[in-house]
Amino acid sequence: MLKLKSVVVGVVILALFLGIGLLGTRIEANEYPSKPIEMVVPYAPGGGTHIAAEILVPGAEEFLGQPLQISTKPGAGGAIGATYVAKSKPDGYTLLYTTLSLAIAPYLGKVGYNIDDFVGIAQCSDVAAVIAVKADSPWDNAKDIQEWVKENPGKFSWAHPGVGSSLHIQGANAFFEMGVLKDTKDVPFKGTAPGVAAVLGGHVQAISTFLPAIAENVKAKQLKVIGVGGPSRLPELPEVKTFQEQGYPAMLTSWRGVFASKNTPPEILKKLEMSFAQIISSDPYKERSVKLGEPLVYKNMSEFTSMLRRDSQAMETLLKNMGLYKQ
Amino acid sequence: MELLDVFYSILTISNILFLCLGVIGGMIGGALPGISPSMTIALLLPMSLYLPTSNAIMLLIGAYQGAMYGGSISAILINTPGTASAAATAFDGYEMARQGKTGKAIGMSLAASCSGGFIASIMLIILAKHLALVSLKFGPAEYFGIMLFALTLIAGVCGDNLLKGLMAATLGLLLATVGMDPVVGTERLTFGLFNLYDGFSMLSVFIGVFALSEILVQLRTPGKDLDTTPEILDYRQDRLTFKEYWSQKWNILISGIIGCFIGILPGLGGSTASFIAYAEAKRRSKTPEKFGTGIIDGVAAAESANNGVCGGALIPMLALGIPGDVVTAILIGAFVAQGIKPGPLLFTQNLKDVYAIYFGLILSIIALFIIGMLALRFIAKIVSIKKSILFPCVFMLCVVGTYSARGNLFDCLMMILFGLFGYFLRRHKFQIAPFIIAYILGPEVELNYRLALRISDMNYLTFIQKPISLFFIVFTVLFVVFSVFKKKVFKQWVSKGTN
Amino acid sequence: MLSENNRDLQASFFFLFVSLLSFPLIFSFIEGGQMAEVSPFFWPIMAASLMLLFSVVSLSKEMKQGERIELKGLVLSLAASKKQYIFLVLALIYIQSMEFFGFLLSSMVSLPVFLFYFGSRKKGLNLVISVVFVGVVFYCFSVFFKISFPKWNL
Repeated sequence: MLKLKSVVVGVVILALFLGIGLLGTRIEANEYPSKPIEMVVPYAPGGGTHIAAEILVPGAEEFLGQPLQISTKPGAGGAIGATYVAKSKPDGYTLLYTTLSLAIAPYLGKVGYNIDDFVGIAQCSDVAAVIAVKADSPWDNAKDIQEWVKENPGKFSWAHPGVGSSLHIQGANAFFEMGVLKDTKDVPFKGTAPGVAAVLGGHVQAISTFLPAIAENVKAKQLKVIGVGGPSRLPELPEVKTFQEQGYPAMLTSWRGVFASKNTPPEILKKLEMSFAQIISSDPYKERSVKLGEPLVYKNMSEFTSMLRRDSQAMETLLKNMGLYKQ
Repeated sequence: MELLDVFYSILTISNILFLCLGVIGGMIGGALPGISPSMTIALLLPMSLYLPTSNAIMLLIGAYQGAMYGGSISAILINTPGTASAAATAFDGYEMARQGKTGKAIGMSLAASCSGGFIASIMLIILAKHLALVSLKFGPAEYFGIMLFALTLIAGVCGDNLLKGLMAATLGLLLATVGMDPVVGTERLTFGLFNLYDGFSMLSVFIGVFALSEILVQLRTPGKDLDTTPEILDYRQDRLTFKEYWSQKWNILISGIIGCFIGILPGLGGSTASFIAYAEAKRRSKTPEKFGTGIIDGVAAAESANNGVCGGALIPMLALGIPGDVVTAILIGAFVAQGIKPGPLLFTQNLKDVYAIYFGLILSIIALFIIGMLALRFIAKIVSIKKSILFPCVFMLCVVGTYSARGNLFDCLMMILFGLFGYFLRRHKFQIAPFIIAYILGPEVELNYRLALRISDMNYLTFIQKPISLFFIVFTVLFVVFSVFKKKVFKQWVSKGTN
Repeated sequence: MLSENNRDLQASFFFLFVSLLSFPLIFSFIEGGQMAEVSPFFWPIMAASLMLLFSVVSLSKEMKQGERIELKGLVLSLAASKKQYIFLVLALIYIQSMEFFGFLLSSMVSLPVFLFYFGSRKKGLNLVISVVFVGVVFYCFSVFFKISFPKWNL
């Protein structure tokens, strides 16, 4: 008697568990999207990329029809999160929000994805790196630095937030275009903050960073920017020339955008492209991105995807020259 | 007087409300293993964007202090540091809880956290600009000097069996090298597993070596005994007395200053500060062998230091726009969004906001104290849960916590491995402290050593040429010589006495 | 009963073994960098060498005190932790299962097992605790802290 009762109870409970477990899945409806979409940010929570992704969330419900759930999967310079998305089901419910690091990481070591696994949905922003030096240093522009380094090889050190980071690559790109990369020493700190402290304290000569991190120091005349990487000058510093204007075509910028798996059905890709285009062009989004200091630059699917492929190839050459290339 | 104006405007109902909300949220986030203080602040960030400025400041600063304290709650109760900065608290805090002194431990943790936070706040208010300039004097060579000194403090932490401690420490050093080389970017000991590209998740190591090893140790007790309701001492007996607190005043003061100072240095945070303060307290103590067995000094030192970091990290953030640790990096974003621009011009342009932040700091400590005291009775009740129920639930929490950090299950598997490792360490009467401290501090020593050499173009003399670095290295050498000498003299004195 | 000192001896041997093992591991699993002034090898080699030194010193100290290696003692000591090994195996199964069954299901099924293993015999209570605790933790972490847990993946 007792045995039967416990068996029945056991079966009922097991059924309950299975039911709850299946709550994690929902039966696919015909219309996409029919359940919340996961967007993976392969960086630490609270960091710049995470916050930039968050500003897409309010518009998602409106234009996409389903909420956007941001999850952070940091590690390996963005590769852990990218691999997760590359390996997940290509049904349009797992997206990736990442930066130029997507193109960089495969050349630095073994990662679990190929560039070709991804197709760009929308580019959201584009940030140019600057090279800044202490205000009282003897260099006012890139040429000054170039000449000094040629006369004093091995004595010029510049800070960046970590090996393989986009700022590392962008800074190296600038010095490479100046022809002095091999005579400078790149100094990887744990993030931007110790690097800024090191420049201010005179321990290193320059830093490769994004303007917001040092904006106040520049205003207070502690640091000065000697060049901007990328196609155009920064609105905050209209008198500072780009490297290209100074004769050194360092055009690499750090973009951020949304990606999906290549094998996602084309109709879903189209829907995603359209929805994100709407989100990004909406006024509330524009306001939020201004507040964040993210220059809004948009590219649609085909442009963004081809940019990804292009940058990836540029990476190969650049990294070989930097001595970081592997494989 | 402008200062008083700001003060009166700060004391509004909504500000106090958000302050308390922040403290409570921070405490909960800090107590949950796997949810770091930076994650907690990162989650409050979006909310703060919609609030008026003073409310936002109160919310975030309250959460910061709360989280730094909250980590000690789970460290003391279940030997699971809720935050990396509470690991040092677990060394003695958990032992105290095992001896039935949970109320004392948590009370001391609260009192020390508030005191350390207060000390750092005072240092911030009086010395902000000067301390910020001091922090700029520290480049890689100088960081190397300090971290080297900190590393040699390990020898002091090793207790009686120096050799055992050193063996464990070197293993910690070795395991810390797993991952991407920080200077060159090549892989070290990753065995081709790209989940190890960033090394072991710090939580895997902490939660594994502390909590999981404890769970394994507890399995030695038969299930019957685990299933009994533990006796708790009467609340009136198991609380922190003022006398006990006052006996720690110098410890708390020194540890708070250490915490503040480490906070000033960008790139170093709560865990570094609490370990250094712990090791330093042990070195200073008249009864160093008691550390690790449940001595209140250990808890006081660690907790005072990690809340000292809060004030300290704000110094370079406000004065230079450079965040002193991970949390202040997020705070900068929050403040900028509110229109406060931390940096050299802040003190001249937005003095009112600076005062608001100062008051926020002081008030947050008061709020933390009050809320902490109220929560204390409730928290300590957790000890009265049957172990047979508590530990499996703790285990589940450990898994969830470890998973939360990087969102992958591999870290949980690593946690199991470290749990087994920690278990064997304990079975063979090794102390966990040397291993953990070497694991955390080792990479700092290595990184700064290599960066200093890179900058100076392989000029080894750079460490001696830079005055601050020279100072710390000489200090370290003297310290080592002195301790060996002291031990030898002590031994001779003992043997003379017994003759 | 194993003497204290034999445990120390075992431990010294363990570290000796690890330090010796780490040398070939270091050389095969660390890549040198092209632009490194101080090689990535330096620090690990130094740590391993120190470990070697300390374990040899410790070993000789133990041997001097007259301890000999008792193989039987070693085996006994390892075997004494049977309960722990079983728990770890269960834990591994639980974690792996999450990849297939998702967090909720795996946890709600595994927790009663662990509760039972740790001595709580009241099955009804175990089930209730499991469901409630896992549910609360799941809700807290996924809603407040926005962690995405593994999902049902078969």
